[in-house]
This record gives sequence, C-alpha cells and structure tokens, in this order.
Amino acid sequence: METVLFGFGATIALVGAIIMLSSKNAVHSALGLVLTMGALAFLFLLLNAPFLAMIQITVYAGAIMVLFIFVIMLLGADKLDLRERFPVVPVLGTALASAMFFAIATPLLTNNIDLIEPPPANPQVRFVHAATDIGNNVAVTLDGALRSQPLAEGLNLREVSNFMTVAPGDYTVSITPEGGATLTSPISLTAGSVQTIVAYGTGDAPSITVVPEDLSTVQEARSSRVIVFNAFDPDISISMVNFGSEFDENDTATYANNIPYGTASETTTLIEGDYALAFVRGEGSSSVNPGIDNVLAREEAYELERDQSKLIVLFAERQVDGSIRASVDPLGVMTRPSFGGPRAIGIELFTTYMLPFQLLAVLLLAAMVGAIVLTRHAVTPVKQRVNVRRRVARPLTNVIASQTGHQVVDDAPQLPAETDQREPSGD
Amino acid sequence: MQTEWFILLSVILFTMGVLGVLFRRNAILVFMSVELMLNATNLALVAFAHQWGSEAGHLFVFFIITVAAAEVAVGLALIVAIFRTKHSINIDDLRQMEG
Repeated sequence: METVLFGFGATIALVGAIIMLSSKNAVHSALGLVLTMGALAFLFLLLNAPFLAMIQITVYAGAIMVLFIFVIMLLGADKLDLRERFPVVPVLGTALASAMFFAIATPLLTNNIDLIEPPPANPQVRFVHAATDIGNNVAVTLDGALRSQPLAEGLNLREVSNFMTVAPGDYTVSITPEGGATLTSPISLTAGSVQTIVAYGTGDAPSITVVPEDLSTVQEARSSRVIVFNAFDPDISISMVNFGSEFDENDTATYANNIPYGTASETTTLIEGDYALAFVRGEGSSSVNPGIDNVLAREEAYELERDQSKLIVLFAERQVDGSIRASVDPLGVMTRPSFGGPRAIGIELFTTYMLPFQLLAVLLLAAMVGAIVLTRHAVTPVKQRVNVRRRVARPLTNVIASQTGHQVVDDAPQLPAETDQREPSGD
Repeated sequence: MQTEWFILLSVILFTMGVLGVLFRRNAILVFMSVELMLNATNLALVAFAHQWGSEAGHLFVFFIITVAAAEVAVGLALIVAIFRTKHSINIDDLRQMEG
C-alpha cells in the first residue's frame, strides 16, 4: 500500500517537474512546479512529517508560487524567446547533470549505501523521595564506574528530581539524608530505558526500588498513562478505584488492582479529565462507594492532563502525633510528543534550535528590507518649479476678449501655447 | 517504506533542477529550478529524519523553507529591478555588469 502511494506521489512530482522544465510558457512552468510541491507535501505525509507537509503547501505551493506567478504576470514574461545558445552548452550540461545523477544513484541502486539504524537513546533516570522518616534535604548521587553525578540536592519529602540522562551501565545510588548515614543501592540502566528510583518505607533504612516508565508517544487520543506505586505499608496491598460521582452510579472503575507493597501497577491508559480517585485496601471492587474503612486516601478532584506519564505514589506520611497516614503523591511528566507534529517541532525549535531560529528571523528581516530597497524606484531629484505668479502682463485686449468672448484685436500678440512636454526620462 | 526510493526520487528531482538551471534562459525559470533543487534536498532530509526517528531533519527542512522564502523575495525583487533597466530577463542578455 505504501509503495503504491509512494509511486503515485513520485509520478505526480516527476510529471510536474517535466512540465516545469519543458513548457515554453512561464505560467505553465509555475503551475508544474506547484504540482511537484503538492506531490512532495503528500510524500512528506507518507514520511510521518504532517507539520512539514502543511508548511510545504502553505509556504511553498501557496506563498512562494503566488509570488512567482505575480512577477511573471507583472513583467509579462510568460512568453519566452527561444534563441539558441552555442550547441555545445546543452551537451555539456546534460553530461554534467547525468554524471552527478549517476554518482549519487548508482550506490543507491546497488545497495551500497549504509542506512544504519539509529543507536538507542541514553537512559533517563530520576529520584522520588517517599521515605517517611529520613527527613527533608536529601542529597542523591549516581555513582558510575567513572564518575559520580549528583541526581538531586536538597530534596524534600514528596519531591521528585528532574530527569537526568546518563550513559547506560551499572550505577550505585547513594542517598544521604541530612545528618544521617548514606544508603546505597545498585541499579542497572539499559539504553533506551526511563527509570524512576523510589525511596520509600518507614524507619531509618528506607527501601529503594526502580520503576520503569514509558515516555514514548501516547497513541490513544487525549489520554495519559498512569502507574500506581504502593509505598504505604508492608502488610497492605492497595487498589486505585474511581469511587464515582454521586450523579452517575455507573461511573466507577478499578484502575489498578491489588498492588503489593513496593511494586508498581501495570500501566493503564486513562482519558484526560477530572477523576475522583480512592486508594483502598486489598481488592478494588467496582461497586459504588467501597467501604469507608477500606479507603486509605482520596483524591477528590484529580485532574489528569493529556499526553502525560503519571506515577502516583501512595506513601506513608508521619502525622504530628507520630501515627501514620496514607498520602498520595501524583508525579507527572510529559511524554514524547508525536513524531513530526507541530508540538514536537516547536519544542525542538525553542530549545535546541533557538539561536538558528533567531538568526533566521534576522535574515528574513534583512530580506524584507532588501526587497524593498531593490524594487524602490530610483528617485532622481527633479528640480521643483517654483510656482510664482507669471510676470508677463497680458494685453488688455486679451482680457477683454476672454471676458466678452469677442476677439477685439485680431493681431494682438499671443502667448505661445503652453506645451506639456517633459523631457524623456532617461533610465 | 524504503528510504532508498525517496532518496532516488530526490536525486532525480535535483538533477532536473540542475538541468533547468543550465538550459532555461528565462531568469524566473532559473529561479524555479533552484526551488526544485531545494525541494529535492528537503525530501532527502525528511526521508533521513524518518529513517532515524529524529526531528532534527524536520528542523533543517523548516529552516530551508524559510530561507527559500527570503531568497525568493530578494531574487524576484532583483529580477524586477533588472527588468526595469534592461527590459529583458533573458539571462544571456545580462552578461555585462554595467547598469
């Protein structure tokens, strides 16, 4: 199917190019080029570049070609004169162009070109502080074979560090609470993975585990991925349920069922919107309003945005009186925007390619000024004739003649008739 | 979909653009052939971006399209200015540098 579509687009592009090259009328050539550009936009769609396809149609086939046709019609240059050049020029030109074509096309056709697969991306890692009793202001480092990289500094409870991109390999996570002993745990980071290190549990020696996340594009429309992590109590497995609205009794669901302590749930994909979430003990039941005793924590109005990867951590929070209460920490991170879409292009444009973008803006400004300067009429200063009253007195007879309509004296001297002939302006 | 086929189409279009620049004597058509060459490179860049799964190629195409728009604006202004003085846009008539 794709091959057929490619053949279709390629044929139209080539036909357009042939029309452009062979037509004697410049307007027909321009229309052939429009055809080629439209076909290329179609091929861009085949290549997963929807944003560029739209840009191609609006800017190239729209703006630029309108400019071309406008200039052709303005100059009346649609009919070409066909004087021949020296006969050697076409031969030489064809030879050079076909030499260039075969130099590039031969390795392509004989499969001598090496289209290697891209290497997998480096792993990304972040740290979530959900350990109840080690206090705030925690420093985390990631110690590799070669060097030690700080992952987070001064991290408080419920906080999360930013993602850090590291080289794949084996690392040791070192967690240093303020005024406490350093905890270490080995982790292995493989290429292309996205890992969240979670420190959780009560007491001075929290457990450390790694939750893999998926930051690839969410394929479902207006949806997000949700993972629930149970860091509350070693004896309790939890479920995350939607306890429903009071208006719609059927609006209940179990999103994550019976997650043991220290593990993460399967990834569920939820549509964006407001959710009334409850975290319950044991099995989640889809019935309306699970037993109040079973509910550990609630998020009454949890707003889920689209295109996110959410890690919801249910952890133990120490109360003032020393007892423990379940607390929810929803951590969201944006997933990769869809390939070739305006969002992905925009993110790249305003992060990595900010400087070229601004230079381009300056270039466009210069081009605008240049076009104005080039096409402005060369204004030659014309000596302004001073508009003074003419000193030549008209004979009285003329005045009488003009007032009465009678020619009083026939042979009265007449002023020479004023001719409105300017000098031909020299270009 | 094979990347090679897109590259091949891109090379063919580029060669046609080269032929246009070499053979056509209307300055506007020479310009259009340059645009065809730019479009051919755009196609190659998008095909490679697809092959690599990286948006860098898309960004380059975006920049090329913008630069091409600027280039067309200035180039057509030049052609209009030349037409005013020479009353011709045949590039064979424009071999002298005098105004």
